[in-house]
Amino acid sequence: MSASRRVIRVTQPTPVGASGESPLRLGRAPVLRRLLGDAGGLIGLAIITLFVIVAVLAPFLTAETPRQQDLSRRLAPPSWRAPLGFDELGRNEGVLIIWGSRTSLTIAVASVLASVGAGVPLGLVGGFYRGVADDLIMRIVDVMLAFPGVLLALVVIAVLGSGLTSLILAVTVYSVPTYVRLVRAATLQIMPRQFIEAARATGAGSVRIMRLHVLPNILGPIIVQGSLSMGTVILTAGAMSFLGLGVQPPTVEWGAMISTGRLYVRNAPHAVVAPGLAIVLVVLGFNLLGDALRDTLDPTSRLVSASRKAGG
Amino acid sequence: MIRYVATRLVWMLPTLVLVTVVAFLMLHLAPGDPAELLAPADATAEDVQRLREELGLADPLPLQYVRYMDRLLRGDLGYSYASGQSVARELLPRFAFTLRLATASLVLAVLMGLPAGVVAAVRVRSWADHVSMVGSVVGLSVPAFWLGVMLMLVFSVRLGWLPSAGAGTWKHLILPTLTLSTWSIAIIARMTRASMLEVLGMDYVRVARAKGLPERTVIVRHALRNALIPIVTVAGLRFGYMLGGAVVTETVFAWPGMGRFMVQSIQARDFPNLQGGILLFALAFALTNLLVDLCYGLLDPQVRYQG
Repeated sequence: MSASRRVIRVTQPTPVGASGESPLRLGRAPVLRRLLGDAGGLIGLAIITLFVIVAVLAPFLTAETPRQQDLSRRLAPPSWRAPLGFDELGRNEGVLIIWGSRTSLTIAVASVLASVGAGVPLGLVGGFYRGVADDLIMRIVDVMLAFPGVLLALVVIAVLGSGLTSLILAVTVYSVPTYVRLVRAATLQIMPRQFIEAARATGAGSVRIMRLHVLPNILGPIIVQGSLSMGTVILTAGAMSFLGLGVQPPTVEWGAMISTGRLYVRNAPHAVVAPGLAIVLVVLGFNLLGDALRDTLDPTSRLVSASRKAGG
Repeated sequence: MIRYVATRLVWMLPTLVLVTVVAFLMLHLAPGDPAELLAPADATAEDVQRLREELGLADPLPLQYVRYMDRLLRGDLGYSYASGQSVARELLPRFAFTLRLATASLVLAVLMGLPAGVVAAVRVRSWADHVSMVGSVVGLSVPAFWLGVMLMLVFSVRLGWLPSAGAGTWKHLILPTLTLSTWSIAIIARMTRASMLEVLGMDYVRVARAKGLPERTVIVRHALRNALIPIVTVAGLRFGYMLGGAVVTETVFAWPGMGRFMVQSIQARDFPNLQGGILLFALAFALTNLLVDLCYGLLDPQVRYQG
């Protein structure tokens, strides 16, 4: 597959010079300021802030626990007291949505951190050293990409059994190849730059060059991909739970709520509509933020994040 | 050119062999014993052991793998544990259904996404641009499993216009195609816009305009043609993944394709089905990539294929 590889993204990172100064300069906050000047970025940031606050404060926002069942109000439609209605066990949908945000946030953060932690070093090493290590890494990535769609995640879950941890691992395995390719491509573009050569001339070791000179220059695309893949992860994890292979009860998860709700969709559509809208809103938040970040951090990139789709 | 294709086909082999190894190892090292799942509830431990031996699962793993490869090289994918049918006979009709759904979705995605992206780029910052870009970012945020259920609720349950499940008539194809193509429409629209914007700034577009060519010709023949490569790349990738079976879409609409079949096989630990299915996916995916790379040559005469 090496003859002409498909271009997932074409990036020209802005050089930062040999100083190793972070190109983001979050301290002086031009990135943040420009982000807030962008309508999409602003909306995205607002949605995500709300999402995180709701997830963290869930116990204080709800009078009931998500385990509180009451069959007398089974599938009761939305009302003033319970604006989202009740599910098939008589649990308050609003409460479930709020608690479900915790599950989604946990999965998204854990999985993105894990994929970055695994994908960035692999891509860096491949792009930096080339040769055998690179060939080996890329061959493995090719094999992982040869398992299309969510199949790789499905197989991982088949191996590990369902549950929160294996769901996180499955989604991680599924997104690592994207990071490896992205980081490798960005590293390859940085390597011929003069400041790398200069660093070498001053006697800097390989690890030091990667850490201080290459990594800061490719942070932009990594952050953009991170934000966009938060959304993808939530979609994929939701799809797994929808298929009954993700988190198991009593853990509340939006995808799982849609899965059970759809059995009653004829009489109680509210049980399906609400969790779906919650997913759409949160994923939209991450996508808007990711887009705005890309415009700010990585303006020349020709993108397309989501080459792999959640769920199909 | 022929040399290039041949080289690419040969290079697929190591990847495919690795795929068989990985699939084999992952499946066989996984907890869950097919013999145990297959045996009737009242089977004794001896019965299960006999079944295990009959299926060849009692042998050491390397031997099992060699036996599997030996059969595979002779074109034999093995027999499903559950149905006893040959795996090839299990897979082919399902793959045909998946192919039908994936093709319909790709066609719809290109028909919707390409014009939306072109219009957005040509009239950048107009209301049309905003509508199509907001539409596509929302499209990228909607989970397919939810969209499918919603479409079914509206068009089958409420309006009663379309069947909610199954396959057969063209009517059965509509809702699954809409569900599956939403993501692709959005991706293609965004890619088209980005790529067109880049090309529209090029000198040769200015020259074409300066020559007094009609705007339509400038956009279609000069700009779009040059903008197509990244669009074809994305569309090809999407098609490859859709061939991998739209697990979720197929589950929602009870579409008898590969995705649902693979999930069922995973649950039943039906190793021959899974190995055959994974290999078929990998092959289809690799061939799609090759086709995409060949399209580059059609679109851009500067692309040279080196064998």
